[in-house]
Formats: sequence, structure tokens, C-alpha cells
Amino acid sequence: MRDDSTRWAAASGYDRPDININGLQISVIRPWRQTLISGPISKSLELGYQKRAVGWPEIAKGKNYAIRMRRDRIMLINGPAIEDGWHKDKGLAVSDMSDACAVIQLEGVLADSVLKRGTELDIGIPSGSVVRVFHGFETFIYRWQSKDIFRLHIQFGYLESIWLLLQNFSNQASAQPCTNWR
Amino acid sequence: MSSSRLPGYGLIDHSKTLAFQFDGKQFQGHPGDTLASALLANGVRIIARSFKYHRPRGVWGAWFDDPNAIFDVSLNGIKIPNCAGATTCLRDGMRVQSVNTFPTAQFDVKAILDWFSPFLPAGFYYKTFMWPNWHLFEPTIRKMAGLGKLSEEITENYQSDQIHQNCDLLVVGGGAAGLVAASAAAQSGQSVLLVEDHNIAGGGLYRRGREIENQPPGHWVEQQIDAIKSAGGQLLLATTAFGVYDHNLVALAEDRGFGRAPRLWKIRAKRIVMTTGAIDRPLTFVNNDRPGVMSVEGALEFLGRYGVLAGRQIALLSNNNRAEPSANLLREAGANVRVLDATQGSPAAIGGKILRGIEFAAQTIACDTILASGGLTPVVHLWRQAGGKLDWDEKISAFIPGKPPNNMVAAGSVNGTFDLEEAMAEARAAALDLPVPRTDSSFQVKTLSPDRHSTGRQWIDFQHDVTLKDIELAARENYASVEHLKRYTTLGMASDQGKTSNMAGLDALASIQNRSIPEVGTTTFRPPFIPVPLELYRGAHRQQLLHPLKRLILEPEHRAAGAALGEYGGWLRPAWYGTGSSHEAIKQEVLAARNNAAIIDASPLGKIEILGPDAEKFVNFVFYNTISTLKPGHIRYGFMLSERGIIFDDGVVTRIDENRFIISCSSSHVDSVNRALEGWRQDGNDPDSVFVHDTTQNWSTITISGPQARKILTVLDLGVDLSPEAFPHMSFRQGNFASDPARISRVSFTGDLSYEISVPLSNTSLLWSAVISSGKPLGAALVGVEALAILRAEKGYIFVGKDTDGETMPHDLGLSIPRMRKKTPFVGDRALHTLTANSENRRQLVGLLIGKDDEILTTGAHLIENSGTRPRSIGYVTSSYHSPTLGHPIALALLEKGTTLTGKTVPVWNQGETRQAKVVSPCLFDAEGGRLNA
Amino acid sequence: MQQFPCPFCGLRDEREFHFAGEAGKMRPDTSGEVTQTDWSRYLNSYKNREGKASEVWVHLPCQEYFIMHRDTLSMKVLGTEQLRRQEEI
Repeated sequence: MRDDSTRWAAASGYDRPDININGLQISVIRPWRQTLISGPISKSLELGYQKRAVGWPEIAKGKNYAIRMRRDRIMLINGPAIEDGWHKDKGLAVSDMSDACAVIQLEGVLADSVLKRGTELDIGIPSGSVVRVFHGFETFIYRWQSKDIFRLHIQFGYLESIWLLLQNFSNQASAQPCTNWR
Repeated sequence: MSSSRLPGYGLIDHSKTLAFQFDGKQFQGHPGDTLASALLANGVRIIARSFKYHRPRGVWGAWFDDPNAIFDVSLNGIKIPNCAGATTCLRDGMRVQSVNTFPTAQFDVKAILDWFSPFLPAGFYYKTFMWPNWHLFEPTIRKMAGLGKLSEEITENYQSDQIHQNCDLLVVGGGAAGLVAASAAAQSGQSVLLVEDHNIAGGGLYRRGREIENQPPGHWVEQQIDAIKSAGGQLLLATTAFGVYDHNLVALAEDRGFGRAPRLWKIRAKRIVMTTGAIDRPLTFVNNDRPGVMSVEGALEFLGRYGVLAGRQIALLSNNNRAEPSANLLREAGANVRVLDATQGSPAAIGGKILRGIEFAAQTIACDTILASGGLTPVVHLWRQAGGKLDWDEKISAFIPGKPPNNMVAAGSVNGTFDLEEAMAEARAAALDLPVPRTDSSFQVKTLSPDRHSTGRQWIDFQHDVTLKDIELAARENYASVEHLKRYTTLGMASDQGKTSNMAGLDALASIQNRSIPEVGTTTFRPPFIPVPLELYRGAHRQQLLHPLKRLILEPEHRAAGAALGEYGGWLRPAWYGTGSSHEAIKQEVLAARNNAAIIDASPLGKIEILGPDAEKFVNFVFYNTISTLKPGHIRYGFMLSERGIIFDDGVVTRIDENRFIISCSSSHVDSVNRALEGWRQDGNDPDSVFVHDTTQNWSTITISGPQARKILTVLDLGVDLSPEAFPHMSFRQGNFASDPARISRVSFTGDLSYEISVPLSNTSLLWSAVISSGKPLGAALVGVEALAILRAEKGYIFVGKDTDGETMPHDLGLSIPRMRKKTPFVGDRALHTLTANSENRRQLVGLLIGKDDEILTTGAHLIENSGTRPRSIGYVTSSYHSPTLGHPIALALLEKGTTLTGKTVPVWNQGETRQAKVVSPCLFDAEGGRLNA
Repeated sequence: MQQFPCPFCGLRDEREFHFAGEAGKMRPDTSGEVTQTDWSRYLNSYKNREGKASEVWVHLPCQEYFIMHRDTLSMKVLGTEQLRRQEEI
């Protein structure tokens, strides 16, 4: 039997210094609540007091907002406390996922170049959802507040790996930014 | 010395010198030189030895079409093998070593191999080393094969970068046509990316040396680049498009300089303009591989771009009307050039290491250099990769782009349009998606086939030593298809990839078979167009990122407790705790778990919620077991099957309320179970009435198992009545921990009284320390996955995928009631009643016992039957441990008719050794379940 | 590298998709008798057509199953059909 503890750098969890390079800042942020709601979108938004759930390349605004994940699923960020389970009256399934996803924020003109290392992210190809495979990981990627701030939700268990990737590709992106045509 | 530098010529910086070494000798070059141009400038003619016969070789072409100059290069402690000399930029201090030579290219002891060439025809290795066994000869031959030597040092930070980018228009090739296309397209508002493989754009413009639109080439190129950039276009220099893939994806490799891995650009372009140009075609004549024989275009490129004159006394052998203008350019540079019409005689190069002259039309002409051109070959590789068709253009004896692939258009020399004005007109039209005008080219070429009656060898593939005779032999042996010919003779393989040798090879085969070249056809063009290092594809996928594991939120706590960590089902989990012997640590953990209590981080356990009015119907359908009768607050163990009736996963289902279930599947199967559930939800169910939420990573689970488990939970104050009557085995309660919800399941994977407490990730650390502080005084131990594996095996509990395989059905594990009685449809139901499923010879799960002090059985060892003529495998050991609880080895196995063999002895065979084991029930601990239900 | 259109998410890289079976294949109703032949056909028989094919694909990140018509020779995507009813966004 083998002990691999030294082959894997110790996990830092949420406590980690930001990545700062050439005006690019990457940091872990902690929304206080993330709520998964499945069912008719209009009903889900009603339950979360939101008007719209953003897709790509829309820009989510403010502290509380909703992102679109599927035809019949949204995630509320910092929404109201909603009881887990089946909401019979509205036909909605609700699960608190506040701890399931780690959220990474990438800010600066290079942010888009870092993301393009791992996925075909194209402002010219809109999408109903923000879900996306990034370097092989299933993630949510959307813009927040401005065109140069991106948020990346990932499974908590993959935070270490994805952070390593972001460190690696921040350097690469700083050396060679992508051209944004629009 | 025959080749030399000309001051004032070329794009290189004559004012600065760079020192370098070649095969141990010192030389000088200039910034802007390639290794090939610098060596030629120093009059070095022999730069390599051929692969098979170790014949001396010189530089043939000036860019990617040169098959000969391959070097091992080191600089500042970085050594890169097999660099293409014609495309590698010279740097100060480089040490360049010829490959395939010993000790040097100039003097190579293996050159003796050339004497044996009559004995080394095509297919020599296939024919000779067949008997008695290829593997007998393989090690020696392998040692002789291959080119450069890999460095034993790891090149630090040799990592590629990878970028996805899109554009409206990708222009491949930055010659005149490419520049015009890019600037026209950019000015029309398209987003344009132009790629050029040299680090200076302009393509063939410098070769001809003449003015373009009344300006010197350098000025004109600068103007075009300015126009492209100011209109928002992007230019990538030193970047080669090496592959075209489906749906307009083009892969580019950007050279980032010596010692650095290239950057991979994956460009998704709406349209692609191919302005890839054309390369010179070799002529097939006797001794055409001698150093000093070069392509005409190569010599002009060395002159125009690098300021190197290929020779002083030049014989220019050509079959086309570019010969005179080319000769004049060389004459202006000071060479003495004699033009020979290659169609008028059978030439032969004279000389060995040093070229002495050429025999032509019964006369001997002294010269130090032969420049040869058999016409121009359009670079159609990417066009063909994309699925474009080729047309044969009789007038220029070449394949040109025919019916285009989707969204691709060709312009300029690649179309066979070798006249500048016309090429630029084509490019402008292509850029704007207008019909491309086609004009008659002024280029004229006389058809010419190799003279098969000359004595002496004529080279077709310089790199692989494929001669005309080899092709004749292959054709005679009926390797008549060009694809077979390629594989039999190795024609056009390795770094050449059909660039230089392709047309000469096709021409040879056509003339041997009395067919036309289009009838012979071409070999398949595949990426990569130029050699690229595997690192290009690897990028960041290395070390911890090669196979990323999921990490536990409690990892810091486990490390602090001295955990050994290992991969279990995609997670990095504690294998055992403590720094001593693993065997002893695991044993103590098992004993503590049985005697007192175990504390286990079971967070990876699946927590997939099924919600909605149809949840009950749905779970009942996806599970083998009947779930519809499960009451809220209760838990049931069961299997999920594939439609083939095979066990896909096992787990427990908890019913929270009427409309909500939690499926706790195996830790390692969460993602696949989640996908399977989502698939069934949308197939045959009303997807508005049932939803699947994978909440696994929102919750951590800590398992407390053992006789003291209840006492430990009491201290935690979870707000739940823990008495056996109020909270029996296989039931579920919602409690609280740290004023947040806590879910408590009374289920057991150890066979002892066990509780699984799940809390949101953010409360895990708190719960972990609370459990430890209440458990430690009661003798509880932290238990890793290894001890857990023993605990469950003592009880006969399975791991799906370890104790089951791709044939195991539930009744093989003794769970046959749903198969016989379940009335409603479920996944895999019909498959449980096929002939195979009903067979009496199925492998069933059993336990195996051996002597108390014996070594444990090897997992995977075969159980055998000796009744026939040969022993037959009737099963195998799936799990095997020494049980600390029972004090003897235990094992689980899948065994044919296993349950009927209980009490009997079976031979267990492993690597030639046979032992005897007694077949018993898989459950060897607390069979009555008293401890489980305590 | 192909690009497939998810009926909900739009055009995405092929790495985000999995093949999920040939279109039009129905699971036999196992609440009644299903012959060995029908069951075997359901599990094992694929047309695997050259040229135009209709297949069920799933867009992994959003888990939408849909029908895609494509040409298996030219790799052209000829169209998709969503299996879910349209809902307002």
C-alpha cells in the first residue's frame, strides 16, 4: 500500500492568496448562499424574487442574481432562504448548494484570455445557459457587473486543481493575450 | 568552399555576429540566419547522413521542404533533439550536432553501410528478420533506428500554451497573396487572423528580389502589415497551421523560440483562405542526393532572405521556364550559371562528399553546385486534410485545389497561379468571398519522367533513402497502390510527410506502371503538416493535473492526524492514519472499530436527490429493488442495473418524504449514476414531474461505527432520539448541528452499529472535532479506507466493480427476490430472464477460507477445475485480506455455481502455484446481525 | 473538432457532448411479455448508417437530451430536434 500524501500538495481550501498579474486579479469569493431550483423558469424566478436568469454573454448585476443552467434549472446567488425539497404549489425542486460550488472571480482585461485557455468562449456565440466545460471540468462561467469580470463556479472538490490551472494560465495569458474582436 | 555569404544581400543583420558550433567546429552566423543558412554561409556542405545508407547529405531546401538538415541542438543547458535545420533560428552559443552520424557528418564510420546497399532493398527488414522471430533482432535494430538522441536532462518549464480563438477569416500563409487577402478582408470589417510560418512575412517575395507595386518587397510587406493591423487584423508570425479539423477548426503551432515549447492555437474560423504557396519539386537523376544538389527555389531563398550564395559554378537543371530568370538572379549575385534543360538528357551528379560536376547529354560539365527543379508543387496539404478535392493541372504537371471543402478557398501559388498580379487578384476576391478569377499561368513546364534505364541510384526520398529501384521493386512485388508503396518503402514518412518526396514518388510509380499521376493518386494527407512536439498537446495536463482528484474539505485535518493519502474513486482520501507500518496501523484501526468505534470521513458518498410527484415511480423504475413500498424516514439497500441486467451500482435509498428521495450511491460512481438518472428522467418519464439534484459536494458525511457509536452521538446533541426502538437500523432522521441541518442515516457498511451524519461542508470541520473529542475517551479511532475495506469484507459486503464484474447480476449475489417478484418495470428487468441470466453456471459471490497462518490469497488468482484435459478457470478472487477481527485470512470470490460448492475445497491458482481454499458464505462476521441491529 | 448545437445552449465544442443512442429506438414495454428477439434488438441492433443519421445526443453540462441529424461522412450537422417542450425564457 502506498502513501501518496507527498505527491499531492496540501489542499488550501478557501484560504489562498489572490493571483495578481498584469492587472489581472483572480480570487476566491464566498457568496453566502447558492440555491439550485429546478422546474418552470418563471416560477423559479418568482420564488427567488428575480426578473431574469442570465445566460451567455449576458452580464449578471448586483449582489443577488440568478444564472441559467438548463432549460428547467437556475441557480440563485445570494437569494432568499428557501426550504430544501419539493415545493408542491409551484412545482419546483429546491436544493441548497451554498457549499457545493466554489466561486472564483477573474477580473481584468486578461480574464477572458485566461478562460480561453480552457474553452471556446465566444462573445459572438450566445447561449441560454452559463454551464460550460472548462479544461474538462463542468463549470458555470458568466460575466458579472462588467465585461471584464468573470465568475467561475466549480465543484468544491476540484478547487485545488482548477486553481493550479488558473495560476499556470495567468502567466501564459499575460504573455499572450487573446484578441477580442468585438 | 563553394557556398558563401554575400554582403548586402538578404534580410539578415550583417552587422552582428553569432557564434555557434557544428560537430565540434566553431562557426559564425548573423541574426536572421537559420542553422541551414548559417552552415551554408560557412561553406559547410555535408550536414547530415541519410537514415539507411549513411550517405552524406547537404541542405536541399530553405524551409520546411528540406528533408536533410536534422540536428540535435543544445543551448544554455537545454538540448532539443531533431531540430529541422532549415527552420530553426540561429542563436548565439548554439551547439549543433548532426544526427545519425558517428562521429561527425563529415566523417561517419557507418558510411560503410552504403557499400551494402544492394543487399538492403525496400522491405529488407520485413523479409530478413522474419525467421525465427523478429524479437530476436529487434533490440539491435532498434538501436540503429531513430535519429537524434534524447537528452537525459529534463528541460525545465518546457510547457506549451494552448489558446482557443475565433475569427471571421483565417488566412494561412503570409506571402504576397496572404497579405493582400488579410488586408482586404480586415478593411472590409472582418475579423482576420493571418498566420505566417517565417518570423518575417513576405513569403517568396524576397526570393525573386523584384519590386512589387513599385516598391521594394520589404517596404511593401510593412505597408500591408500596417494596413492589416490598423483595420483590426491580427498577424501571427513564426506560426504554422499544421492541421485542419472538423467544422473549421485549424490548429496552429507558434514557435516561441529555442528551448520553449510551442503555443497551440485552436482557431475556429468562419472562413479560411489558403495562400500556402508552392514548393520546388526535386528531379530524379543519378546521385541526386549528393551534397551540393539543391532546389532552385531553395537557392534563391538562401540568396534573397539569408544573403547566401549557394555556389560559384552552378549547373541549373530544370524542366520549366523559370530557369532563365532564376539563373539571372544568381548571375547578378556573382555566380557562374549554366542552364540545362532536364528533358534533354539523363543527368548524373559526379563526385562523393564534394560535388565535382554533372554528366549531361554525353558531356561532363564541371560545377560545384547543381540546382534542380522539376516544377512547382502547390502546398495542398491542409486543403486535403479539410476534405477539399484536387484537380490535376496538366499544364503545370501538378495537383491544384479543386472542389473546395466547406468555407475554404485557395488563392495564389497554391492554385498554380505563380504570377504575382494574378495571385493578388485571386487573394482579394477570396478575402471578400467573391468568385476567384482564374487566369492562365505564364508558368510552363515540360513533362519529365525519371529515366529508368540509367545505371546508378536515383533518390526519391532523401531522408529515408528510397530510390527509384526500391519503388520498382515494390511495384514488382505488387505494392501497386500508392498507400501500400508508402508503407512498404517508407517513402514520404517521418518529418517529410509527403512534402518533398511526394510528387517524385508518384511520378516514379506512374511511369513504372504506365499510368498518369492522377490515376496513381496521392497518399492521404494527415496532420501534422510539420513535426510538432507531443508537449504541444499536453499543455497543463501534467502532474497533479494529469488526472485531477477531488479533494476533501477535511484534508488539512487528515494530514494533521498523520493520514496516508491515496486515490479512491477519483478522490484523495485517507488510506490509514499514523506513520508506522501501514499493516499494523490498518490492523489497529479494524480492532478499534470492532471493539470501540471508528470515525470515518465518508464525504464522497453520493447524495443525489430525486424530487417531484413522480419521484417514487422514478426511483422504483431505476432501482432493481422495490422502492415504492419504502416509507418516509426509512432506508433501503439496493442495486441499479444496466439495461443488460448487470449491476451498475449499489447504494441506499432514503425516503425523506412523499416527493423526495436521496440516493446514496457509491463514492466513485456519483457522476455516472447522476448521468444515468438524468438520462432515464428524460426518457420515458415526465421531466416536469421529477428532478435530479446531485448535492453530493454540498454535504460532508462522517460515519461513526462500532459498539460505542450511540454514546458518541449522544454527546453531539443532534436533537434526535437515538434509542434502538426510536431510531432502528435502516432509518433516517433530520437533526441539527451547530444550528444548521444535520442528516443522520443509520446504515452500516461495517456490520456494526453505524450512523452517517451529513452536514453542509462549512460545518464539517466543527463536526469532525466534536466527533473526535466525544469519541476519543471511548476508544474511537480515525479509520481510513483500507481498514474500512477489511471491515466490510469480514461482513461479506461488496464493492461494485471490485467484487462484481461486467457479468454480475443481482441474483449472483443472492438477491433474487425482485427478479422473481417485482411487478413493475425496472431498468434491466428483461435482461434478468435471458438464457444467460438463467444459466446454472453463473459465477456467484462466495467466501474463501485458507489456513489460519497462511499467506493471504492473491486478488485476481483463478479458481480452477481440473476435471478436463486442461485446467479451466471457474472464477477468481475479488477481495483478499487478513482479518484482524477473526485472526485469519479471508477472501471473497466469484465462483461458478459457487453457492452449491459451499463446504467444498477449490484449487486456487496463481502464477504457477496452486493452493486449496474452502468455499464458505461471504459473511464471516456476526451473521445473525446482532451487532448491526444493536 | 466538431461543434454541435444544443437546442438550449447553442453551439458548443463536441467535447461537451455524448452520444446516447440511435433516434427512434423505443424501450420495449416490460410490463408485458417481451420476446428475446425484441429485447436483443433493443440492446444490440444499430443501423449505424453511413451518411445521414439521426441520433440522440446529450449536452453534458446542461444534461439536455436531443435528436441530432448529421452526416456521418461529411460531419455536417443537418439539424436538431428538441425533445423537451419549449418554455419561455
